[in-house]
Amino acid sequence: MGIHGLNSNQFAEMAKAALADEVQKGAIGKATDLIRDRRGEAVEQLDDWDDLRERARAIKAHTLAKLDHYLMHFVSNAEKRGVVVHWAEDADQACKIIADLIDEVCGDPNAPADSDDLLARPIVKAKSMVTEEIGLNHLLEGRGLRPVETDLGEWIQQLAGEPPSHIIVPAIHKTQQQIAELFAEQVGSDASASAEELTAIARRILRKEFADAAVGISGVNFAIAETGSFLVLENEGNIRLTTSLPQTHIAVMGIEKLLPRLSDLDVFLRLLPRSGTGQQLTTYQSIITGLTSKVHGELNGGGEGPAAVHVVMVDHGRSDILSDDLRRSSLQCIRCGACLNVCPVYKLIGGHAYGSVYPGPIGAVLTPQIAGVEEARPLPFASSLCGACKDVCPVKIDLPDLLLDLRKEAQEKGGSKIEKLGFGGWAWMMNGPWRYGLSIKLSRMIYPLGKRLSPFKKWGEGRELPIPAKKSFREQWKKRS
Amino acid sequence: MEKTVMNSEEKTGNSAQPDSSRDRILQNVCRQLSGVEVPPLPEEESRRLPQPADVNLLAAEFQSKAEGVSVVFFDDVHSATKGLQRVAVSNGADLPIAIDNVELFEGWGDREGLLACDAGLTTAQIGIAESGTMALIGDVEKHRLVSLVPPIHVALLKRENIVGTMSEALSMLHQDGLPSSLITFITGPSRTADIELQLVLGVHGPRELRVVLI
Ligand code: SF4
Repeated sequence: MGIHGLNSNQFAEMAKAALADEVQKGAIGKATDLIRDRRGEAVEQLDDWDDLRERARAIKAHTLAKLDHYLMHFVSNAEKRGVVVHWAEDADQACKIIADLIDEVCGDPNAPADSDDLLARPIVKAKSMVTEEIGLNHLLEGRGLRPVETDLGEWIQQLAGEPPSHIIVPAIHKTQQQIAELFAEQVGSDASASAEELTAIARRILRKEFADAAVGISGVNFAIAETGSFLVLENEGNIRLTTSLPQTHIAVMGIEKLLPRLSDLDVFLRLLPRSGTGQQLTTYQSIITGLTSKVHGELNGGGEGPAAVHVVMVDHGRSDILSDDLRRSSLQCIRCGACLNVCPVYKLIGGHAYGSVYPGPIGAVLTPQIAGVEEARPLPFASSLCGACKDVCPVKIDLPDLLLDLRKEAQEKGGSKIEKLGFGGWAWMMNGPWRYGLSIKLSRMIYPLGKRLSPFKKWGEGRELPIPAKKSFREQWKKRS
Repeated sequence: MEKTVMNSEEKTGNSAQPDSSRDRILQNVCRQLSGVEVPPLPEEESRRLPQPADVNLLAAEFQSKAEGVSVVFFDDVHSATKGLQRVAVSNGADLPIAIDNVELFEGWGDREGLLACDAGLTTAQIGIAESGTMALIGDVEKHRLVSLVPPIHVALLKRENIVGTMSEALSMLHQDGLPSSLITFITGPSRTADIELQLVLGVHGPRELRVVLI
């Protein structure tokens, strides 16, 4: 099963190139440090942070273990409120369902003449990682449609012809100067425009797109089984516009996004914004339960909101990883991006080097599971296993353990002899806290050597990244308490 | 879901495709989960602020949290709309029918009008003190576009409708049956930090959020 644009087996070369890009390294380093600090402050405001994480983990773990039940519950409740639900087994099917829905609204692409007008109309999109995963824009463009990303960061990336490089801050690797130059080239603005001016330009251009769009596509942050509702959260307001102005709204979600009860949102709304951006709460959360216009007894003309709401439930390899307890836990992810911001590897190489729409620790865990380990062999190894990701994860996913498990699979399914030897020992070493502690100390000793010694030289080239911390977080923490 | 009464057309069965993909996905989910032990779902929890629910204390907390995210407070709707010319209003029951020197018009069905006005005026049904958040309920009031499209959003909120926590707000939104078709939580004006994490207000939604506590 393919993740769109997947290129993870070129990791070594891409990481090397990224390491040489000083401007990008500067931008990412500065931004991730800042979000990491803001997150730290936001977390400190609460005295029950770890209880919250445990509660969120437990809710997700329960839901995933009974996913069939909650899926049925959600879908039947959503349908009762007028939502049309679609099921996609893989990326191609998901794209086709969405494209066909758009054709229905905008007219048949094979019909000649006057339908041209409709086809030139934009499809407005709010940021959604699953639509990146399935390569939706690519397919829509191939059909002559015009998807327009409306989240500012995503729009910047679309103008640049690049995928997002971070799951929360898509253009995190770009400086303001680079963005100003990009706008100058693409929309003819001043090449020295400020962030404020650039934002105003985006607002003006995208307002027009919103006004013209017949279809809006969004993701889903949480879907509520007991009510058939779903929640989307944001700061900009583009999701609200996307889900309010066009006559048709299509929400695309992975099948793992469920929560049992509306009240469960409380804990997740305390965790997600703090973990993602260090905010107590993002500016907007919209809970959508079916059609507004139906409740008001009138259709779009005099009412509010779309005349049709569709939900596309995407499996794309998710159901296959439900059986194993450890692997299943990776589906707890709420896409907060915190693990990216603290990852010493991500900080140095940025998102694109991972060759996957999901970068960083969670990307290194999800990508091989969705696409197959053969397609992303280097990713489980693209980590120093320092454990910083696990420490910040709001739903307590054991990312280092998952990486080790995937390393083992990568090693079993081929790979060179030396890798087998090395990673076999590595896996043993990581399996148990004292061995892990030993390995960190060892790595501090071996690190300077490893770069120079010839058998390790090639291996080290793409990986000279994470200089082992003088003291690991764990060691420092121990000392403190 | 037995609490709801529904029109026949709103009943289930509007699934758009033959159910084979649905069945295959659900079957695989079942197959993969067979033998998996289901850990318990944590009890539902109702979270309250430690201090007693005094209206004035809650209002003060609401105001200080909201000001922390750039919300501006006004004493009454006249001062909040001073200097504005054309203001879109929603169909909220507590909204004024006239304001001196300001032209008011029904905003929810008039997109052209919405794009050309100075501000949108709505009420908010619930305030949440702990975060300075307002909840706007779609089935009570058509706030969807009026609170979003104009560059300024003016919201009226009754002090008595301010609760302590998001947890309390969620249970209120759910207590008489199913939640409204749209619930919008608003905490401050629209913002972005997508360019070098610099904060810019008003990227897609209102640049200013003005609140009048009544
Ligand atoms: S794995 Fe955890 S920290 Fe990383 S994005 Fe997912 S929820 Fe956030």
